[in-house]
Amino acid sequence: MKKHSIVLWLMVAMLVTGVALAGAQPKVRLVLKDLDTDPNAAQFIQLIEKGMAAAGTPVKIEIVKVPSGNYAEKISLMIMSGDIPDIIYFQGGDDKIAMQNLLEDLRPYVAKSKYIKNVLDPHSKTRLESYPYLVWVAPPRVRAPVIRKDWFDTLPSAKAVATNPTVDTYYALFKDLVQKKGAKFGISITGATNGVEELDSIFDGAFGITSTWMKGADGQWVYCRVTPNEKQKLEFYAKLYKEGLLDPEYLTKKWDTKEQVFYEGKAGIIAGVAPGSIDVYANKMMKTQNTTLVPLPPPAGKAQGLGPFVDVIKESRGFAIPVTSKVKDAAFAVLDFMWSPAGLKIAKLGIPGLHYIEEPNRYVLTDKYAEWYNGWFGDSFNGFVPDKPLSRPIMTEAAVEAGKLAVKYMMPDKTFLIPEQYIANWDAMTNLYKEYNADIVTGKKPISAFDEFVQKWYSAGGTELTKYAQTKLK
Amino acid sequence: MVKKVKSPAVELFWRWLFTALLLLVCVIVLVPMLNLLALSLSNPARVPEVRGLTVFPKGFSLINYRVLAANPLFVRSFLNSVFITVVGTALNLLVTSMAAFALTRPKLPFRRFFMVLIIIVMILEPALVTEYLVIKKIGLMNSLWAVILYKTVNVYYLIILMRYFEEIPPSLIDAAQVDGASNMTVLRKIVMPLAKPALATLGLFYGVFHWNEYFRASIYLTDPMKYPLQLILRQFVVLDDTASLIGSGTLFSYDEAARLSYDALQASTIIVAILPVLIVYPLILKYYARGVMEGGVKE
Amino acid sequence: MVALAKKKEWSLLLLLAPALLYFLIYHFIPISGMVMAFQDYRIFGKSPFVGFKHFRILFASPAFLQVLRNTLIISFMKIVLFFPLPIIFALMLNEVRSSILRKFIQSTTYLPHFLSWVVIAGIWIAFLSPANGGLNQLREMFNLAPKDYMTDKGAIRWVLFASETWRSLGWDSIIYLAALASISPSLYESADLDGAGALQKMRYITLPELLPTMVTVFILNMGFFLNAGFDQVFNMMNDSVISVVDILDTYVYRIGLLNMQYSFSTAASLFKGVIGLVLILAAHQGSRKITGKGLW
Repeated sequence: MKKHSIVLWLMVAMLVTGVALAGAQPKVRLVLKDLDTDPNAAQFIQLIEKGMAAAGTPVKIEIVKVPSGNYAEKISLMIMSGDIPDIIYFQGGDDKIAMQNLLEDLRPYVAKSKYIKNVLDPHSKTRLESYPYLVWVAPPRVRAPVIRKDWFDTLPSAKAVATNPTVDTYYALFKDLVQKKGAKFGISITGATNGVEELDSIFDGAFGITSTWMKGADGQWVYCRVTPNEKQKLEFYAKLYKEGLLDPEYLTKKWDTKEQVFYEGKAGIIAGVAPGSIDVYANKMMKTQNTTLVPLPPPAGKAQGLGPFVDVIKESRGFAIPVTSKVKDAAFAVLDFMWSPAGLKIAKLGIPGLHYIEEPNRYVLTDKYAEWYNGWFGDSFNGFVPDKPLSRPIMTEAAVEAGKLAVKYMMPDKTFLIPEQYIANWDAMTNLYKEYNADIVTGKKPISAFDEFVQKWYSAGGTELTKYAQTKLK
Repeated sequence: MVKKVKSPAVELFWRWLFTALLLLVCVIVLVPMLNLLALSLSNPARVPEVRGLTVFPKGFSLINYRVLAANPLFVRSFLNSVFITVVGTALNLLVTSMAAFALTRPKLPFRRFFMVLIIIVMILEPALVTEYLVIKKIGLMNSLWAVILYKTVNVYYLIILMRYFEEIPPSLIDAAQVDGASNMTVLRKIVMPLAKPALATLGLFYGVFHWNEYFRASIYLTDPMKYPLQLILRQFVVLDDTASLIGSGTLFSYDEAARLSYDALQASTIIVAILPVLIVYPLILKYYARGVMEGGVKE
Repeated sequence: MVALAKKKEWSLLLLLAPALLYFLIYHFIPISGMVMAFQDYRIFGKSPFVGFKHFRILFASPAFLQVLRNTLIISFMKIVLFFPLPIIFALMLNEVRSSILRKFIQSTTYLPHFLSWVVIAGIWIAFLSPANGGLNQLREMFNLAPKDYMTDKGAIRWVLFASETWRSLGWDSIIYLAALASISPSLYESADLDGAGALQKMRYITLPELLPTMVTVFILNMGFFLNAGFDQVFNMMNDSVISVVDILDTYVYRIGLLNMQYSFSTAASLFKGVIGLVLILAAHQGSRKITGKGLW
């Protein structure tokens, strides 16, 4: 039944595209986070259109504007409103839309693709197989902590973290940053949008939290945020907060304000996605403080690893094509083109004359190159082989190092999709966690309140969900 | 005005205590607003000196307002709000008076039935989700009209206006109709002019409602260039989302603008949103509250 | 003449039509759509009928019960606790003799009523800011440590109460001022002759004269008990305090429009609608019985 309708849709889509091609180029509407406000977006799109015309698949691309605010929420509202673009970049919220059967199964498209199928990493292929609605080409999204190099070089405690990373050496480093370097606090995180996720990226592993669901000693699966390990971890966070080592205003920090305190020397360490964000940090740090960054390895404890856990079920972000699109093939052609050598050149190098200058025998990356976001269509560099050598490496050394750490220390996740009947409960359970988490870390509640949280979590639907987990996980 | 009471010292004491307490309430109402005004007008270099109870600007500068006036998104949202308010209020008054007039005419067919309908509207509230789906189905999504039309007729105002229309002597209307005037003409030429104070009051209330509306806009509009001011304000001030006004591109490249302190800029957006209300506020007092105030003084 | 009055004028329907069209789009069709509370709503294809499934999940969900409790507590604070304040305000204002002072007090305290909750939330967030807010500056003067009221679960409901008072104290006193103004001065004069003191006059004249107004206001407010003020809560809540201020309307919005659980959210709305209906009808009857005037 479903297959049938897909074939039917494909035929209709092909027919429509055929007719459209005979007449005008198909128009593909694209929604992509932050692209609508990027000053170089128009030129970027023009280059893509030119490139696709040259490749024999001409399209017209329109950027759909997104209201600012929580991107996942705004996209949900946009789709529900019936204003459905042809290519949708998701960053959360896609699963609920997929449940409404609104998203196209992309596997047949990838199988037929010219380029994408060759650049997909194994983890991407696995995810596409189990959740075929999002395609994304990027290394696993893992965060790494970084410290500015001039401080790293002059602090013995920083070297101690590099050679012998433990929770204790990290703690000593945070203290030194404040006492010896005049930082206001050891580490800042984007608490307003991500809670303590960025701290978790560093410390989850050391406290023995290695996947969303973990097998207990009794062989039963248990949600990682209600384990005794989590309790110990929160106790540590509360200590950091109390001693002023964690940004006291972390609950209101967003990405821009978190970066700001780092460049201004108020925060000693921040964590960011490796290598992409680390590269951005390194460039901006160079611009403001004239020093680069050093990524640090995660502390070893009960385990050792960098978070977030690498999902094996689905992509956490990526491109989808809605079943309602009338130009599905053209839409997918855009994605496929972006991973062709010609497309990759545009995406990775930016606007000619601005971000790079073409010389007879090489491409010279300009100072402005640091401002070019080369991850619009995914952070991966798979398949990127420029036809002329580059004047300098695309990524800073710090970013490359951070990328290596990420690959070395990533932790594969064990989890499943929350089924529809548990979504309302899941919303409540997540809020419960966020709340207790914030209260315990900021000292509004003592650590003993954690047991109360666990109890509430189970009665808010955790018991049922845990039962369900036993059937889903092996 | 003066009551014939001997004013013993005790009574005088209480009177002064009450006055002092009431003035304290005024201070509590005014200080937070004056503080934001002071913050928005202060010299940027001296902004850190402005504390929570400061009510006079430190130095003087219009820089924040200049930044806002140069911001296309902000200017656009201001114009959107003006458009929604003007068109919305005109429509409110027209449709509400037409309905009130029809409903107060004894000759209206099914009059009782319509009155019951109106009571149903008053006491039954549709679910947010179903209203949303209807707006989507009739194609008003991402249209300013979805916002303008919301509360075209406020049932409570409709009933107030009906009460007012009922006071108009029927003979006036009948006479005009004998002369062959249509219903619309009677409404326009006779009823509405007589009901001017009521219409002015309702117009002000409808207007303030439109100016302050943000929630329907937030769920029905997806294009930021259609946003009303209150929604930009909510993003920027309440949710503290700097990118909503400054643009993530600017923040991303970490330019000059990204290094500003935003408290003063937020304060000025609030002041800009209050200003139009302040401008019509004397009218509101004149039309709505005057009777009460004067009545109160007379004792 | 009598015959003429009986003759219906169909063209009047034209005048009513725009209003009816509006009610149709924004009220009647959406209300009829609420049948989806008994279905599993799908954007595409048929929505299967599931009976009371969503209601069962709703009432079994501790989150929903917490939301209901929050709604009742916040409503109680804003309706019952707040109730005497505008009366006291009106009584005090009534004693102010200078008409300039009176006008100033009235003009000032009515103003917040006309500001949107977005603006008020902005003002209050700034005023309560732990870093530089006015209230914390006051605390500093008394050597108290700064406190972050907006993210404090113990304080946030009182913030809601205080900001509601800030906005409505003056405005809501108008109706009492009007009632006070209509009390006949002769009542006080004869009391004066009898040698009654201020307190006695208050007890035996003012309060009994105000009683009908008080009863009406109170009963009418009870009819909207389940509302608890969406705009206020929506603009003043944040992740740290969501468990204590999440009310029915914010819950319905989050679950329905953001988590796309349409049917479930509609079930919650329907529940609220039914209880609300009962409350309003009761208020109507009660008001009619006591004061002779209902809601319509």
